[in-house]
Amino acid sequence: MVAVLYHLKKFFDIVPIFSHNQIKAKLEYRGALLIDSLFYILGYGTQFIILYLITDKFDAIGGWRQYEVLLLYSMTILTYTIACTLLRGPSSQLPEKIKEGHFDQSLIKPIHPLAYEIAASFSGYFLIHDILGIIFVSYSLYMLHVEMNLIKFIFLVCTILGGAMIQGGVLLLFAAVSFYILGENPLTYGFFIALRQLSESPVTIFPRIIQYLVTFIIPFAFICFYPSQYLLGKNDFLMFHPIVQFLPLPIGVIVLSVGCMVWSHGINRYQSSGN
Amino acid sequence: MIDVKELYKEFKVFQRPDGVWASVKSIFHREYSIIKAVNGVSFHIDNGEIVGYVGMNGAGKSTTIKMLSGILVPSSGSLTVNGIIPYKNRVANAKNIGVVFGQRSQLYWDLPVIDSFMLHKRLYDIPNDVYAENVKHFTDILQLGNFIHQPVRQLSLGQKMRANIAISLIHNPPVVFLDEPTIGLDIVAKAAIRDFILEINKQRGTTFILTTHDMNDIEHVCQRLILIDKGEIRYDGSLNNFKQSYGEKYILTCQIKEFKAVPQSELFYIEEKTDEKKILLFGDKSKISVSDAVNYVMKAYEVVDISIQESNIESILRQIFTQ
Ligand SMILES: Nc1ncnc2c1ncn2[C@@H]1O[C@H](COP(=O)(O)OP(=O)(O)OP(=O)(O)O)[C@@H](O)[C@H]1O
Ligand SMILES: [Mg+2]
Repeated sequence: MVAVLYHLKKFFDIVPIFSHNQIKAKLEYRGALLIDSLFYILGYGTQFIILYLITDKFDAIGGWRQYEVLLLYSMTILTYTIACTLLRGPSSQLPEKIKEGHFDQSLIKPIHPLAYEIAASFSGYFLIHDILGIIFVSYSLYMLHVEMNLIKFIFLVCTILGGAMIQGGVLLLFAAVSFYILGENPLTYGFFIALRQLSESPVTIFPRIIQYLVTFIIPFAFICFYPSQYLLGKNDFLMFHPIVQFLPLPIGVIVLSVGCMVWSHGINRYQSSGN
Repeated sequence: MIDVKELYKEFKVFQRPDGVWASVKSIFHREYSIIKAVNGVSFHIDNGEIVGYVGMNGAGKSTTIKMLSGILVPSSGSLTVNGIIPYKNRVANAKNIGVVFGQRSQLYWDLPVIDSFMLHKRLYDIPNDVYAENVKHFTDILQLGNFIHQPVRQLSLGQKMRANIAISLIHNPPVVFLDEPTIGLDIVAKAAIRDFILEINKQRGTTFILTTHDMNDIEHVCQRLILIDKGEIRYDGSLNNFKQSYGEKYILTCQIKEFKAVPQSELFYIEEKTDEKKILLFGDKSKISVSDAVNYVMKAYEVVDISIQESNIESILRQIFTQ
């Protein structure tokens, strides 16, 4: 516990240096902020619109109406963006660092390498993406006329946290594979997205085997599929108990812990590189 | 105090498959080969020593340093740095050591040098007065003043190296590993760095392990030499002893008109450099005197030019490694 506090303190000591610098660098290029936001909106926005058009035509997918499907999608995106804001360094940037031997640096600092990697890649700048994600979710909820009260709001916040932890944990897990195998990591970003897409759509439409997969093996169904049913007053829990709708946070904690453990253990397998 | 016993490090290397079918197979079954980088190394280094760790390319120097820094976990054997096992307690070890990898910068590409200093101040909890004094001192000696506010990506190799060395020492670590700290530097910069190492060692009693391919670095700063060859230690002792025990040696470098087949002799060793029309004769005074050796080559070849190099570390090493 003391050790965790030590690493946290160090983390908050050094994060401003990196973050301040990255924001400064971004703002040095005029319009970068605008263009970046535009790309984000274009990237996810077109997906959003395509989904909108498809659901418009077919009316309902597996019994899910248009904006319900959009809610699933925007929750997935928001939680993913949050996970990436924090974990870009130790996840998407890690395989390259391992391959090039640049991970050396993180191992000779008086702070846990995971905390160091997060700090070194952290940029307050990406909070803008999170805000855009929040707008997506709010819009879907608004169009669905979900009546918000305190309980639902707390539930929503916990769900988003849990979803971010689930995705973050899986991202760490996938990246950490690079510690354990030599050569290319087969669990790429594309693979992650493909898997996750299974949970962006109503899971009902998939065969049972996939329903099991996204519930037990890679629990992406907890990101939005199960919990959104509480918000929408649905009752579509496949062959599972309705309790699943309240589990995103605990499952998130478990998945993230497993991710961190596998990652931290992987450090000892790191081979560096000859120069 | 550094203690290394029977240290081994093997690397697994992935054999990149040829062809599509082999690539597909490699997803399920990967072929490895094993490289023995460090092969049963033992040594003991006391506080305040400056040790030159020397060997040919690929001898295992960087691999040893990486194990001492906590970057690599040894395959077997034991090691402690100031009583700490580096790979088991990386955080505690990091506080005790400073590391420079000359072939790779630890500065942040986008950060100005001064921000990297500040980063280390916070990471290592350096008290304000110590920090201020070190920054000032290092800036003076290593002449960082001109570029300390520039982002690292704009710096020259030598500027980066000086900044790297400064930053590795900013938290006053009792042990410092310098892996090729003078690579690519001009003679003035090299001299500055050598003086700096000596000064810090004298002032603070800092222990240094230094690897380099420039034997002048060794002659100037090291009292002790450890020689490593193919992962095994070939010599460990004082620099003076080393020179004395091998000090009877010399190298004749002869520019010649044309090559002839000349039989090697028990008394010396000849290396031919065909493209430069040169021969190198490695001799040992206890076997054949310099004048006899000169006579010998003058007879054997048509010599245009000749130079005699009495043993310095470089010639000795060359002899050890070429034979
Ligand atoms: N990460 C790695 N993966 C595989 N092999 C490695 C790795 N690092 C080093 N080696 C191999 O281990 C051996 C020792 O390498 P090392 O870098 O320790 O040599 P060195 O003495 O530092 O050489 P140099 O003077 O060229 O820097 C070499 O054969 C090298 O190819
Ligand atoms: Mg090396």
